[in-house]
Amino acid sequence: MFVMTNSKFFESYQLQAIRQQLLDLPEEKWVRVQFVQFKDPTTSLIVSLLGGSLGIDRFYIGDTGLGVGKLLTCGGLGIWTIIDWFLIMGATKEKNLRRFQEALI
Amino acid sequence: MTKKKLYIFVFVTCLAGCVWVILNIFHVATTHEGCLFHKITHIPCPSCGSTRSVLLLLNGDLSGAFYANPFGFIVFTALVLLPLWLVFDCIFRKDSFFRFYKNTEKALRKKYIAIPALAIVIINWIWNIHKYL
Repeated sequence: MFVMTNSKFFESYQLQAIRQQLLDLPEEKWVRVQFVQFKDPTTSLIVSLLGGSLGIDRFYIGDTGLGVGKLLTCGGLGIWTIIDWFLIMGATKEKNLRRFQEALI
Repeated sequence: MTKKKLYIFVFVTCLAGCVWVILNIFHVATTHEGCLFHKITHIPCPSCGSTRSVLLLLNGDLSGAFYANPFGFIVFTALVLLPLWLVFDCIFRKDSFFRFYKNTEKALRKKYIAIPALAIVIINWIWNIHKYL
């Protein structure tokens, strides 16, 4: 059920492992998992397209350090901005997976 | 992000930054072209002018550099300091920069630091727009 509602937040190849981890999860941890806030990859793509030069996309997914770097360099002279248009969705999903796994600990 | 990935990324970025500055010294790259945001919206971004600022700092003109863009000071310090720091860490097999990076990220997430930092960025941005008009 969790996998169905939250599949868009993760890479498809990660879903199987997520499903397995959830099945093995004890009851008390389940509540914590439900409270985790995930970031929508589509939203981060839109943020990247609109404000990528300012680093807002990286700030949005929680990469504060990279966001500052992007901001200070005018989006890496535009090059980083364009590269991130392609990378940001994957990066968002990786961050989501990290948050999910931190909730399991 | 792993330590190795971060170090490689920071090193490559600093290298690219130094190359960019050198290209500007020899006027190979002209000013006003580095910013994608400026090209599309015709409004300068908060860091527009930082290349000029770094070049002025190399000539010792502190007030001129501040006028071009105060962030140039941060960029200049980073371009000089970070490669040395990374080499130091690699030689002595420490992770001091990595820890500094992680702690800074944590600090920036706190509201009492993030909000003043954001205010400074916005004020600098408004000043930039004012300068370019």
